[in-house]
Amino acid sequence: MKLLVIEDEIELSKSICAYLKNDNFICEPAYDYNEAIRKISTSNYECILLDINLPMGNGLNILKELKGLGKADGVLIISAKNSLNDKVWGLNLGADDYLTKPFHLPELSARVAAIIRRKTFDGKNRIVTGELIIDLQDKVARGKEGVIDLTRKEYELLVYFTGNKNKVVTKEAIVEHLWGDHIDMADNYDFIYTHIKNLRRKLIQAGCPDYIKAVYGMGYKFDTAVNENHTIKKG
Amino acid sequence: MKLLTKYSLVNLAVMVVIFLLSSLSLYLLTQTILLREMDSDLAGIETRINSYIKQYHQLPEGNPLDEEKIDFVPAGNQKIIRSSELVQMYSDREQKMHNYRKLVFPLFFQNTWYKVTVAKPVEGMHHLSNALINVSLATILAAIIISVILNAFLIRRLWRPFYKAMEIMRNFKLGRTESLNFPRTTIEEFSFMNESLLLATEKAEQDYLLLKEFTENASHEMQTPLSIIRSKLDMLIQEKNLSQKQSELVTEAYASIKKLSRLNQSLLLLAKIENQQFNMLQHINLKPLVEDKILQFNELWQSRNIAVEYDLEDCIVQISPDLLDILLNNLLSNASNHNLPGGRIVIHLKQNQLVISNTGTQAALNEKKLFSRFYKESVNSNSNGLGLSIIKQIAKTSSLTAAYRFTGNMHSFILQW
Repeated sequence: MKLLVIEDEIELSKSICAYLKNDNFICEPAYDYNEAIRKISTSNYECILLDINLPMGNGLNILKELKGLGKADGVLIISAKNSLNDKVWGLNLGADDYLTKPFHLPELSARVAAIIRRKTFDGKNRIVTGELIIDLQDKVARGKEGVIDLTRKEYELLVYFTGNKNKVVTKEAIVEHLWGDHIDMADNYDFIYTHIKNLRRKLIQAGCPDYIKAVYGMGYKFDTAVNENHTIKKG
Repeated sequence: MKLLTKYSLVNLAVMVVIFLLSSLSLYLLTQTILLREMDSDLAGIETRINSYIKQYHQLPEGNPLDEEKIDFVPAGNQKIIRSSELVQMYSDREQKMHNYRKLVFPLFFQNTWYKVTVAKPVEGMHHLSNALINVSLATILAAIIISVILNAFLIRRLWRPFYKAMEIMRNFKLGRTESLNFPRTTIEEFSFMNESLLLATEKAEQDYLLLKEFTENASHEMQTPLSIIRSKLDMLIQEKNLSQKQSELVTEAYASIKKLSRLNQSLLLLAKIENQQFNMLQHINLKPLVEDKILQFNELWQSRNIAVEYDLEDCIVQISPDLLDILLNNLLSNASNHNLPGGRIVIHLKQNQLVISNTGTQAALNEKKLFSRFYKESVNSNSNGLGLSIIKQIAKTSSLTAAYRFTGNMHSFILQW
């Protein structure tokens, strides 16, 4: 699967590509309008990350061009302009989502994953990770032992983690994803600990390995590389 | 003191002095002229006496009907010098002492020198001086009355463009786009003043716009480097084998970037609210929104053992939905972040007001500074000091009032429609 990152800031583009690329994804950068137009007309991408302010042209025109070519690539707009108009226009022109700079890479990754799932599986999508199956349409997660009874926040957290497999995700990023950007928590993230603890417990009870690892004081990691030893040990 | 009053007072004082001086000089001048006139009358009498003697060779008899008193006294050896003076003499007619002008001259008749005294009453001068004083007093009074009336009507009318211009300046606020409309005036000074005021305000307006744009542009420009730093930190923590020390350093850098982003967003938000970028007003019922927010914050409050009480009535307001969301978030974040562990939050929503109270520090906050930018109660505060100024700014653009009260150990923020 291919991703196109249309972003003129080379350093930011490099970070995005480095974070998103894995065994399944190839990331291609485009640093200006013309390069982007060339790439979208010659290849198909699962998802295009689109910065609106570009050298040599406006990102929204790329979106128009893309729709004009009749392509169904998913588009996620990333913009420094947190302007309502850009957002409304972007979404009206057929973008799938909109993210304002500065963003957390895990947030970007989760949104890209969501767009790709929607595009690829026509809505009947499921996330399968080892023992864990998440049915996104019914919003239900299942383990070996059956349905896992999750609260809304725990479910959202789990989907978020699956969009950031094997990545360290900070507490800030999790809080921002679950509660939004506008609530000022005054750097007190202790209360997400409860959610993590409960989610971990429920996953293990449902027969999944202990996917969620705490990483020092920084955050958590949804580690699918966890071998089955854990469950074996437990068993 | 008004310029007008001051001017009138000086004007009046000068007028009084001028009138007094002029009446005095008029009086003196008239007196001199009268005396001269009288002296020439008396000299005329002298001539008539001389010609009478030449013609009839005898001294004339005084006529009792005449005002003049004429005396002939033989002078003997006395040498008579011609002289005239003012004297007090008894008036037979008026039966009292009176001012007389007296002329003494020598007369040679039938080989004898006579001393001739001719006197004439000068009562007219007394009347004249009285009349002059009365006239000048009346004129001064009339001048005062006329100038007061002029002040009251004419001059006030003349100054009207000035007061109108001042009124416009007093209502002038930066950031309102319409240009000032001074009344047209034919008076050169006032139109010069209006022109200068217009120039000054337009310049101020331009500078203000530049400054506003600067804030917005600067905040925008900061977004990209902030994104890059944040993305690099996100990549850094993916590195395997980070030591605990390194993790701590990254976490601290992360927290600061977070603060910087938030600060930047707040500044941008303030600039946008000021630039009227949230102008899609809607009628919104606050009650379900506040209920939603309470649900959202509940977890945070539970984790800090903060008890919440609320009493909500329906309340329809006209406001931009985005601003309302920010407003509620800021008020509730504020009530949580400055609360004590185990504290309380009380939310009252009535038909036209929302009161959010919380426990916190024991003393009242400084109400005057509270809503100003970058004001913090404590130096180590985690907040950036912009939350309340955002609330104030939203209140201002949404025509509602935001106030603070400290009662019964509770800090309350009150929004009123």
